[in-house]
Amino acid sequence: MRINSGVMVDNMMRNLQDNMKKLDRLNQQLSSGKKFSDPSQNPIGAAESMEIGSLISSHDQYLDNIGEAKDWMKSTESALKNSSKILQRSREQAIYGANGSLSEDDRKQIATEIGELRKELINVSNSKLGERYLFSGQMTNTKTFDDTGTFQGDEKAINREIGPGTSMQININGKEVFEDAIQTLKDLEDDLKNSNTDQIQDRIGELDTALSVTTENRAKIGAKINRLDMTESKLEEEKIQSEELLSKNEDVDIAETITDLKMQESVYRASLASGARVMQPTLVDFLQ
Amino acid sequence: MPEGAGQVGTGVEIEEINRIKDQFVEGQIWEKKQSQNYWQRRYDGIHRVENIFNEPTDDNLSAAFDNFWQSLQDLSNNPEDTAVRATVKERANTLVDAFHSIEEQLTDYKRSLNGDVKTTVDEINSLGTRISDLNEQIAHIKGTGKNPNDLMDSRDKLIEDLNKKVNVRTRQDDRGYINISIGGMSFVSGDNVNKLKTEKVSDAPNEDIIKFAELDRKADIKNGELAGLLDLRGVYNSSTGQSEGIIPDYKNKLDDMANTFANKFNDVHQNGFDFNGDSGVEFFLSDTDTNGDGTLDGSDITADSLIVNDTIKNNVKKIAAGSEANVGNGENAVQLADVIKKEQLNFDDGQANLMDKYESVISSLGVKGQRANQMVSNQDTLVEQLENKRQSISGVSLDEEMANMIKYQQAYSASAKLISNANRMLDSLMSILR
Repeated sequence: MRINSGVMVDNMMRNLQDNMKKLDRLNQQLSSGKKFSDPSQNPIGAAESMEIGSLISSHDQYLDNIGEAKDWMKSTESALKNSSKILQRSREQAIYGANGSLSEDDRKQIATEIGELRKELINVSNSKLGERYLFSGQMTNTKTFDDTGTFQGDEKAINREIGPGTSMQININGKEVFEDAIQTLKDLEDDLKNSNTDQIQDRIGELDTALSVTTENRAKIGAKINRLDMTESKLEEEKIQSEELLSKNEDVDIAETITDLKMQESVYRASLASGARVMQPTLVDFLQ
Repeated sequence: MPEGAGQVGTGVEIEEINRIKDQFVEGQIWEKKQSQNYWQRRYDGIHRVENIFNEPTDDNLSAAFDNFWQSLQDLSNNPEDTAVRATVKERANTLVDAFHSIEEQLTDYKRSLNGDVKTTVDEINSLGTRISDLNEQIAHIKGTGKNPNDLMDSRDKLIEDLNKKVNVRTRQDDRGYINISIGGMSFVSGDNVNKLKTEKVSDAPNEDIIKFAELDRKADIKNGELAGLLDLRGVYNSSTGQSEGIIPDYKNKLDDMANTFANKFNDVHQNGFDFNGDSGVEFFLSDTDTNGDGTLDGSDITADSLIVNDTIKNNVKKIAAGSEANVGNGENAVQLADVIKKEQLNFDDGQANLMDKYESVISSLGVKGQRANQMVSNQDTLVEQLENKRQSISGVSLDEEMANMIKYQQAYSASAKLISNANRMLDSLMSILR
């Protein structure tokens, strides 16, 4: 091909333009910190980023859900602990009250304490998390037991999603745990008032049953909290992995890009320098 | 230099000035310019559409879906809490706004493209007129046996510009006319132009068609900037009743997403129970009878007509969070959240999860943009090579010209020397005779 100054100028301009474009691209990457800003620069990468981004926000949400579930269960656990204490104390008093050497007045005094303990048990059964009753089933706006010890909630499960497609019941059946116990304390109070020592023995058996129901439920809640802890740390781990993946997918490797930029810059300088040298002289410059 | 110039220098008459040009290379450059400008226009347009969808950043439709999903999850944790319910309502409004915003920007862009189509048609007509004028002058001068080089250069430049705009074929005849056709129909014939015009289509706003004005026949636009514009803007196909093009395509995808999502969401919502234990109402509605069947229902929902039901806007207790009529039940909120991230929905082109569907919409747009960009750089390279070739043939080399000048100068000096020597010889001879 016949090369003349026009060809050389055109080529130089095009190469300069190319080099500028590459410099601009690298500069964009460095200033934004991202490998690409539009899907057309990397369609698969863009879809991947959207997918991982959505996954990370899901993880965040499930971690929130787990946090809320744990709050609920920890409140439940502490209510059950109080309930155990009340029942324990009642059982001690019942055994004391069953003692034949006690006077009727003594028993009446014990009966008064049992009455107070029963009120406290009703209070415990009406425990709330925020504005919500823990033991009213799904009727969370309704007081669980009224003052007479009548159950007003339902026995339905409250389920929470703690991971994609995984849910867990977070509440326990308030009727099962409290109803009989409250009734037993009522009966015990009456029996103590009337000094029915034989029946007091029966009440002790009933209190044992109530205690074991409470303990069982505490164990159940404890196991579930353990499971939530495990799910939580697994989710946190997955979240970190996803974040790493996202970063790998879209974040610029600064060291590499700066090296590329330096290299591109020298290419650009070289093309400018060579252009300036080559464009200038023609035969005219050498003829005197 | 004027054509048929008179005297230049002393004692020399210029008979003819010829254009040094390879018409074959010229023709190839013209053809490549069509594709180059088609792909460039297409790429610019796709890039604009990408910017409208604004993925992957933090402020766009996928973020709106994500936030809505999170608020529904929060609702499942706190179905009793009206503040949480209010958040769900606000996030739903944001989602609706995100759909509206994309749809409006696409419509605006389409309108401006339709304006560009009209302007481009005007430019094409103007180029055609100027070429036909030049045809007339060139033929006239050629008739006198001279070469109108300047005019032919101007005409070549105009034809190159015309090739950037639209697919044309050129043919030179014996009289020196260059005749031009667009899509097989005559556009410039000698000194005559069959102008193009744009015409509104009643069924498709902002999709004006391009016709030959006098023949009233549709022009077949296949390449060049104009074809790029039409591909982006969309062209109404009267036999299918559909618009075909990138913007109509992505508008349809957006409408399909809005409609499929909203209807499924409504189904789930209506299966649930609200704060007061009543069955759920429709969560999303359409504010226009888009399909024109006289009733306003779920089938009318598009990205543009989507709204949140006023019943819910006015009373957030109407949000059906429960799968049972109990205030503490938040299980339907999980089902609602699942419509966004988990459920397989029935889209126009098959079953998919909403987020996956949206990702594939965005990546298909990216692939189209990437291909267009690739084609632009391919065409650039081809045009570069051809332009180099043209420059190599037609360009002036100062070195060559200077060398030639010195050659002739030296030849001149040599012959002058010869004359002066002969003169001296004659002088000597004469002096002997004196």
